[in-house]
Amino acid sequence: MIINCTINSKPRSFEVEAQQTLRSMLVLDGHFCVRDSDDCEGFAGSDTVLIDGVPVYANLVLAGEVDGCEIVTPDGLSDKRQLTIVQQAMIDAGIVQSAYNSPAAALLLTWLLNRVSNPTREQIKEALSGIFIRDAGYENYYLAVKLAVEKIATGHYQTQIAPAFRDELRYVGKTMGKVDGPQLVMGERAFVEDRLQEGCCTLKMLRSPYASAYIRSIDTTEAEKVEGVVKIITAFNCPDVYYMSAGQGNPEPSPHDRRLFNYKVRHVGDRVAGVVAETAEAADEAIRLIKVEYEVLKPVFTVEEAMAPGAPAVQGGKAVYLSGQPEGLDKYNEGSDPREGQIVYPFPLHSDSKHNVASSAHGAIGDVKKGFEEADMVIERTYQTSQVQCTPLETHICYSVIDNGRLTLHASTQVPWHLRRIVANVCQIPENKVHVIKERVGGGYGSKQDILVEDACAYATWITGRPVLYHNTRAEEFFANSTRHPMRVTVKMGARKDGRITAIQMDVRANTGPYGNHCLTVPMNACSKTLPLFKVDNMKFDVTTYYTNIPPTGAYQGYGAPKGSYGLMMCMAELASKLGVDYLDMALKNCVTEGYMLEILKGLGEGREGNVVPVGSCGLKEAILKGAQMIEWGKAPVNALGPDWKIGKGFAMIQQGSGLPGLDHSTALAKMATDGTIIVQSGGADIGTGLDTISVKVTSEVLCIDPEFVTVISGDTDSAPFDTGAYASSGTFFSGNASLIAAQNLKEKILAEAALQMEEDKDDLLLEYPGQVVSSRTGKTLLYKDLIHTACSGTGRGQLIAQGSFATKASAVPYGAHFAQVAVNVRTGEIRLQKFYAIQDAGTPINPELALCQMYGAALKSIGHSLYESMILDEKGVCINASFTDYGVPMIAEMPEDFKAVLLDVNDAYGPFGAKSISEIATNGAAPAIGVAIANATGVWIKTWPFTAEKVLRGMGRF
Amino acid sequence: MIQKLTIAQSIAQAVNWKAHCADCIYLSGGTEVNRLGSEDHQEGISIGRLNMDEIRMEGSMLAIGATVTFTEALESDLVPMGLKQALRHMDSMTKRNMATIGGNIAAKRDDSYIIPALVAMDAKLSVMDLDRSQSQMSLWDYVSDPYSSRLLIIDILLDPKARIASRRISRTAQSHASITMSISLDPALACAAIKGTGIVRLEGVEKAIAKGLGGKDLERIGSEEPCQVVDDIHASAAYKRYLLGILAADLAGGLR
Repeated sequence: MIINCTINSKPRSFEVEAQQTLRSMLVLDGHFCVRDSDDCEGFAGSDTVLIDGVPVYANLVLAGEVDGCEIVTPDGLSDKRQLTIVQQAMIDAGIVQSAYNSPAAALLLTWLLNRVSNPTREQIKEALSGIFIRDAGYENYYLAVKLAVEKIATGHYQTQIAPAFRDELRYVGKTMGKVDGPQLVMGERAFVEDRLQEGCCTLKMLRSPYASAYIRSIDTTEAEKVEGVVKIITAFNCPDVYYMSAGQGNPEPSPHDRRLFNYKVRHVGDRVAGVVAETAEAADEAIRLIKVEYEVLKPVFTVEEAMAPGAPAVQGGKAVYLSGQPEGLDKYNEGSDPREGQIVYPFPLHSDSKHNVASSAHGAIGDVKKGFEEADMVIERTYQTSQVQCTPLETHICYSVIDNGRLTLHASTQVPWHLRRIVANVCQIPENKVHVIKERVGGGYGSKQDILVEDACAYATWITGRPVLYHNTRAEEFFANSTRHPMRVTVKMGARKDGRITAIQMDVRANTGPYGNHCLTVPMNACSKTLPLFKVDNMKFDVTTYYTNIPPTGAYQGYGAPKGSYGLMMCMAELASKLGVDYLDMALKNCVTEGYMLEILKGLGEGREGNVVPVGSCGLKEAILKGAQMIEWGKAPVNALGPDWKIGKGFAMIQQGSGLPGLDHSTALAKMATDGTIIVQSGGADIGTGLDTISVKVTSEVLCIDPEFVTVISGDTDSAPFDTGAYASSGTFFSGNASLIAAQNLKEKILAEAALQMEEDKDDLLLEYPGQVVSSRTGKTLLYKDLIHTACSGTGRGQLIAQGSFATKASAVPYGAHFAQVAVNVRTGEIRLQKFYAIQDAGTPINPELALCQMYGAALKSIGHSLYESMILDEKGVCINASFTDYGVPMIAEMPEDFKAVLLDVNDAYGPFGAKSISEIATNGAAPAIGVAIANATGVWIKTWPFTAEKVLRGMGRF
Repeated sequence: MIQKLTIAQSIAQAVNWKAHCADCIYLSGGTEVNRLGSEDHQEGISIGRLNMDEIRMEGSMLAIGATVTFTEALESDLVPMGLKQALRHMDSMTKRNMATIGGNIAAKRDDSYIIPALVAMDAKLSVMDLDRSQSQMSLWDYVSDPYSSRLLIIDILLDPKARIASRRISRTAQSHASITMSISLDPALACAAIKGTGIVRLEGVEKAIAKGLGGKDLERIGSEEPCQVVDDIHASAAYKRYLLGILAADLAGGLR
């Protein structure tokens, strides 16, 4: 079928297939920023275009239907790489973060402003109702529109974008715009899918229909005959290498309990065979023709089933220890079925895989028994969190090619160096043969800390020599990717009548699913990022993680902390209620302050003894008081909704970390180009959060140079030095500090070189804006461009290059408090989130506008986990809600009616220019804050995620 | 997904093609037929260019063309508020720009956004059968007819003065609704889309409303409607039953 239409005002003609979607036609025509995040579900809006001036989902339109139509795509908004007012306003408002949907959002906002010159909040909400934003929440989209309206009307912004911090600094703590913002918002090539070469192969997976089964045989004979099939990889021909998917420190605190393909499948959706083919259709056909004979086994899905006597072992393989081998291992390994494979422990995790225990940890301070005896009241409660999916808009993807005999991976990853190490191990090649290029990451949220697609993609290319694309569907994200661990958290807490807590005991039982990636550290985090909030002498924790046959788990923003926080804060609030003391007073009475020695940390290291340190800079109390004032704690709320609605308030105090002191390490290089501009090569992996912008700002600040003249190259294992990666809230603190040190070292080299060239004493020289050296003694100046020209002229001392390396045992702990006000309809159970206030101490927010948006985004994610999201498995272990609509992520309609993020002014001693981490902590408050508010409104303490209308009504005994 | 697309240039042509192809499907806005998880069809007959996108008065009745989109209906001064309330149950503006009234009726979703409202408004459909005979039928009859996909909906006809109230209960604005219910007092009409069950006429509620009952009586009668209600991923059967009663009582109470 031939169709004629205009695309971005240019007449075009296409021959299209009947079933071809408009999006497919547009992508083939080069409009690759018309993306697909939902497999044609008509939900996420990544595929938004205008047809005859109306926004539509291009995936739901057949190309054959647009004959004669005018089509506008997001890349058609700007001409000649010139940002439009709307695009610039989006960058300035801080909402262009991981940005997979930013071009589509820019199109929608431009469409809106073309129709309405000064839209209301309701009109903006309406325009954005069909686009899913996971990274930045939606709140600052309103700000972006306001800025654009002001710019159009007056030529400049009148509204302050974000508060400024550190008056003495020029760039740090000020709004500036993300350095990769223009590329992302205009829809330029940025993501892995934008790098594909024509003719690349596709890798697709045949996945297990069973939650637990041995693979007796796989017959690929017929499948291999399909034209275009290049290779089929199975357990019978893949490398016999055990590894694990978590990109963590080396040696990893996780067992190596999987191969590329295993003889036993351990969850519905587990890999059975990988088909490399020249077309997706050929791969699909081959998958259909593969014959597999399974020996189906009894699965276990819950912690209770896994720990039951006689439960089948999910990982019954032979245990192998690389260090710290326990006594009696040979006897323990007796009778292991070889089809179970092996479990290789880099060091002991106190596991018992025969009984499904993947890891365990225990610790205590003081005397908990005595503490409970001293209490006037003791309560013990058990809380259950659900399995939730990270849902990055860009599903997991990898594109691998052979280049000059080396394996090059275009990856959407948080951990380029761990990825290189793990892939090299899987392919059994040295690391110098692997080149990882971290492209822009369209949302990670922890899930891209795991090596979930890159291992198979890389191996497929290595053995075939063909370029290979492996791109998950949305459904695969649910049943074959990492998710948040379901946890059962039991909290026992005792307190005196005045609210002073005498003892806390936490028992965490975590469900790691089929593999043990993060099995120790996520559950420990439930304790290590919550118990240190309390100034309590007697505390004890027990953490046990179980293997089961649910879809895989892993890292998710907040790690284990949201679950621990939920249990601990809910328990404290209920105890306060029973004691008749004010919950806020109780929190203030028991929360830590600067200087308090955190003895509890001794037992909370990640597989080793933790560092006992005093509380450093701490805005916790200030956050609680600020939030209390904002939400008018203690004052009866006005109920304008009628008698069927009950209003309640709640809050939670929260903390996280800034990377992993003693484990993380970051490095950066700073060099001066021959015109005096600066190139920073950072190991840090910017996953959309603005880490590259931090590197630019700290470099500009130190070297007194305009940010325009600083470029960051990051996350490329060939051109940047080592960094452990972007996880555990390490980016600002570790990678930022590495860039800062590199800049400081380059400054020293500039001064030394200038001293020689200017024939001055180095101690008399200063760097001065904009990019020159000045003598305080003689007043002489030397521009960087002249300095470097001389240095590189053939008679000088060569290019100025400096390294920065950062590792520390010091902690920079972010603190905060999140407050919620809910209205609950006591007839239908509906819950309305009327207010949500996130108050946080992030040290010096280097990018304040981006920091605020990350708080909004993280808070909205955790609101989703608290109220809506939960993966549901049927009795066979099939995830039956593996789509956005069925799963239920929060969109703009679910935003709190009054949503505020507030950054406190706290200066940390160890962070770069006083900065601490920002976004992970913001996932920790919503569940307890909302849970407490619901209890305040209805008297119902909901002990399981999500807090549904039905649970409220059941708690009230309505049916 | 469809395997072949034909663009009809006239209503007669569309019907003629359909008459010769049992597996063909009329393709309107595309939000159902082209969506993830939709059924495979041999051929899609696009009816987007048949000028069935007009909203007009025909005597005392409002006629809404089958390919009028949700957005177009919302922007029309002729469309009554009761229907507009139901149209807004589809929360995504982008989807509302594409979804058509006729297409959503034909889809007969068990969490239909608009069928309960249209049933409560006692709406009629102007349809064309495979033999090109044109007739009017009640929307409820269309919904109840398992073979109605053969019919091409041309217009939706309703009384613009019809006064109804609707509620949709879902976990998020874009999740599938557990219950969408609409009620009219005069005439006494009540209809619910119950996820996992389908579109249900609430006859007990209708009789109770006709008798002037409300409050606890309607709660009880609504929750005891003799339809099969099932547990699903969105809500338990018990909660849905409870809601049937609560919503019936609240909607009727609100209209009174």
